[in-house]
Amino acid sequence: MQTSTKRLVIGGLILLGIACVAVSVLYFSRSADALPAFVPGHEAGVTRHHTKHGLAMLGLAVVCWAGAWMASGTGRPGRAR
Amino acid sequence: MSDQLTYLQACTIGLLQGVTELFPISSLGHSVLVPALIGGSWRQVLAQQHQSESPYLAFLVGLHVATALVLLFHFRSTWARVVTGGLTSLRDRRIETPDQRLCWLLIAVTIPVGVIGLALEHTLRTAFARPTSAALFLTVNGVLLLTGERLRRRAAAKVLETEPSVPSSTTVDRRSRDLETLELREGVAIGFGQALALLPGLSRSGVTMVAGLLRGLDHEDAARFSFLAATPIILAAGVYKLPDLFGSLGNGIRGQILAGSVCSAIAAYGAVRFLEKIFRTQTLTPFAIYSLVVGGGCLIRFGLFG
Repeated sequence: MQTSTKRLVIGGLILLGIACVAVSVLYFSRSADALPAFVPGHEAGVTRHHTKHGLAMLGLAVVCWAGAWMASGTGRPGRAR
Repeated sequence: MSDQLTYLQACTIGLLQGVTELFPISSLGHSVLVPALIGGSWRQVLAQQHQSESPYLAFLVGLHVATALVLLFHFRSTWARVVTGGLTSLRDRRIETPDQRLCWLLIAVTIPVGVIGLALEHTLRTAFARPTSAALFLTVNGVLLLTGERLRRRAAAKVLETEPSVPSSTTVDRRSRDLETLELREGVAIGFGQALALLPGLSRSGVTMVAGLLRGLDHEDAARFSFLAATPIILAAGVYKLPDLFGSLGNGIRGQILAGSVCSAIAAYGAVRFLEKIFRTQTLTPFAIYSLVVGGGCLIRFGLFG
């Protein structure tokens, strides 16, 4: 991978991870009816929090950062066999 | 709920779930079609699938966790290698060994279907968990399996045409890829494909196997890949809803849940052993024919006669 592409991938994954954390905070802090309409889980009149959605988004953030960590390595991903 | 879900129903649905979760014939589709076909109190079981919260969903959680635990147990040595591979890969920041590659491949497969499932599972389940649509999608599943087999055979024939001098045993080896050689982007594509299985009637394992075959895997490896990819998804779906099982939704039906889960585990173990054995020599065609016949039959039954 070229250095510029590599930086782009790493930066993109870090930003995506941060976005996931932001969405998870939204799930933890707002009830289902207070979520923006475009966010999955929005349900008018439902007052419970989508805690599990929040946990899933945190998991996704961890995967994004793990991906960034891997991409920042010096080793090239090689074929197994 | 305990008045509605009997032990007989729990065990029957458990056995059905264990088999159909791993066979490429859609467990979700069968959980809609079978109660609708039997009728009577079984129909009430079906009706609960449309609700956002029902004791029946807590029951399904138990079945899913049981199936996932069986898969984990059966492939325990593979999973141990995959987890070790993932950790060493993170430590070295390299993907070199087959186990490291398989670990990242499974992550790549799981993310798309996990995210789409989280966003759309409830909407799709409530919209399509009806006998007519399940029958239609089961028929489509049959077409998908047949098409996959046909394309795979055509690709194999091309190899024979271009390399006629290669001995047949070598040709078989050359036209099949090892599971661990799949690219991560191919894994992501397969993950998106698996999301189709959120539609009752389309089989997740069927989609994964067909995608694996089209990417050059043989039937045995495609099935193995399907089972490995299924484990985190089924387990996550189960664990995700686990609070429902131990919460008020599970009150009064925990005995039925236990009985159904044991039946599901036994059936899933039998199914995985059976499929591993038959995919050494057989293709997806028998499952395609089953899907077409049952799907088509149910389509006539529910489409014409309501």
